[in-house]
Amino acid sequence: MDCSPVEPVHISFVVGARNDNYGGDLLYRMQVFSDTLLAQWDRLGLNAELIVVEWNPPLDRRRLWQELSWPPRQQHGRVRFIEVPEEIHRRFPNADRMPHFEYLAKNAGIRRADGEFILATNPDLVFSEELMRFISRGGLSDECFYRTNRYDLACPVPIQLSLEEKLTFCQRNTFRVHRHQKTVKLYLHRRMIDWIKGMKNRLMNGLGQGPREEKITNMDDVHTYASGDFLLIAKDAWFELHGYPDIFTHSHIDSIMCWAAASLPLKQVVMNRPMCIYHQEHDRSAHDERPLTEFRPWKERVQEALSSGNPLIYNDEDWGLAGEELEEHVLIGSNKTNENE
Amino acid sequence: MKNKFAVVVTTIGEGAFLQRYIEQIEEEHVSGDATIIVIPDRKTPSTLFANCRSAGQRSVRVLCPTLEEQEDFLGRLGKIKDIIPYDSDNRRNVGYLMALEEGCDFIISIDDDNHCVSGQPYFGEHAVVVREDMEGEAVHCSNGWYNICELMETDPPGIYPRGFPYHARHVRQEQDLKVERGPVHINEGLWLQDPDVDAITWLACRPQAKGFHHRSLLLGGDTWTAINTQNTALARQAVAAFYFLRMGYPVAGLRIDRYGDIFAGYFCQACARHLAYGVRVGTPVARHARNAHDYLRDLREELGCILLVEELSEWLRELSLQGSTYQEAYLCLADMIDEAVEDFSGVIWDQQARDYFHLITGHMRTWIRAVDTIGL
Repeated sequence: MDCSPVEPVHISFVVGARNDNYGGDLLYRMQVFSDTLLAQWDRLGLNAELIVVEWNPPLDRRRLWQELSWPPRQQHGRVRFIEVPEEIHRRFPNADRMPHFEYLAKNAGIRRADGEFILATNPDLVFSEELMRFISRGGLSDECFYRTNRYDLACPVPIQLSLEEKLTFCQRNTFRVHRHQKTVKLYLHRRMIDWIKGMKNRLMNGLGQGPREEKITNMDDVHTYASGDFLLIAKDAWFELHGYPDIFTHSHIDSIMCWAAASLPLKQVVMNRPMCIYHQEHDRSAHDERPLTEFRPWKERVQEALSSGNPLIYNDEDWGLAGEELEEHVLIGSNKTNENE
Repeated sequence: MKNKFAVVVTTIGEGAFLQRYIEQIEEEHVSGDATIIVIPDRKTPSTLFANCRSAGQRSVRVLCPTLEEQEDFLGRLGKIKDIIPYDSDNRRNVGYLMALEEGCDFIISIDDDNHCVSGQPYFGEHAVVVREDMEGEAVHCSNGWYNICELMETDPPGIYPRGFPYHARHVRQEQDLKVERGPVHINEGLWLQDPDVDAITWLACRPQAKGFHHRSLLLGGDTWTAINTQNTALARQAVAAFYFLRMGYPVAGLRIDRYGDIFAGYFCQACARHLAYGVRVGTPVARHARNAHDYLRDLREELGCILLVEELSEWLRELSLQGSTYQEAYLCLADMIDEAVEDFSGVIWDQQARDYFHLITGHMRTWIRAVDTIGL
């Protein structure tokens, strides 16, 4: 069946990655991510696209699009892989210390995305059913940026489970949550409280009282925790903001982007459980060798932007490798790449 | 032989095994009864389809459904499609169901690295599962467990098949042989060269099966063994109780795998015994040229299963099922597992282990609905 998006793409899911087994079991986690996401699109009839930007792919390994498996019959959406080769990577500062510039990769994807809304996310997540329903039903506002809480999973998601079973498994196997301004271990009593809150939110959502829009005046009010995993904004706003600031160091870039969104000014919508994301845990020791972003000067810039009303826009018009012609493979959807290539 | 049968195999290879099976089918003059069902997966190379097509141009019917055809087929059978994952040996369930739909009287489940040996009947031996009656020596072991590797000459000796409970290994026991009669519904053929043993055994001694004592045995009604899917035949009816369990679940911190067939073998034995159908072990012997393995990784995946088998196997032996068909007995078994796992208390039985078996019992019921849709 031709699953070309004849209707406009509602949401683009944009991730950056490279086949370097980052964190261990990368392919396993990516397979869980893509299997779940694509099954959810079909279940909800969501006209979406997944853009995976393969940044600086290792020359001695196959590309991610060759390693991963895809459903034989996808009814909705499309999957695109965009490659940023080593030659481009080498142009940037710290290229020798950071094999993957996650947010430059995301910018390259955002720049090329077709979605009316664009979710910058990561390829080791599972989206809760309620979250997917919320973002797919067409009520998103282009005057808001959307955030959610990340729940960390105590063990890998069994890849062989069905969609329904995977989501149930995730619900039952969380051990930590990254909420606004705090990370909390989910001991039994907290798990109970969290569950009760989730039930209350589910009820409120059912009554049509979904998450509220919040105008940001103070940078502390922005939910920045684990924001690299979930930042959903209308495409026009991403373009107005020129994407993530091109910073060639590690950490804090996701938070800066949230503040930049607040400075546009977009209102913040925080979606709480049962709308949430589940994160498949992994090793992070590779970060230790990467140069860290110096946060203080950015904090001052953010504060100044929020108080002055001048949006925090860092990149120039060429953001997202606009002038580069990047190789693209379409795995699912219109213009599908021949698998034998 | 006038019974339709199917050889069922999953593969992510190019189908090198086909040639030998087709030659054997021709040698035994059973081409008219035979279908080879090859189940490809998402990582299977496209050359397999071409190889199956050219193999099918000989005298033997070869089915190799595309992923889309598999989806269509399963889609007609209810929710079974949701519980048979891709990238998994679990897809042999698709082959079993296709064999039923093809109207086969029995199936032979093989691995793609098992090869039948020329010069001896292979399909004729497996066809024992469709005989109305057979007479043979039955072994009764005092501890209730028979080590099928005793039928082979192995180096080193004293090895046990994968899935054989550890509590029943290296135990002094009496063996009693009696001539018995009755219908057989499960026939487990053995393997020369690389025996089907667990990763612990591979790591410890790299065993080889150097010879076969040319003797097959029935298992006495009080005697069990581990049954795999490498070279095993089942009567059509027994397939209803032979759902290949889905693995990959974390149990007590261990991700379990590689025992989907072992659990299936135990569950099917339980139902067959309840219905008074026999289990035979021995011939035909296949040559197992094992694909490369990472044994430490295998061990990690098998360990949880080994611990689960310890308790589950004894519980199964003492079980009293109800039902007059495989479907009824299997559904009864699913209900009893749901109850029993809440009471198991060994080190492996944490909440995840219980969750896993509750999932599995749901799958068993889904399996029966699919089997009933096809009809036995």
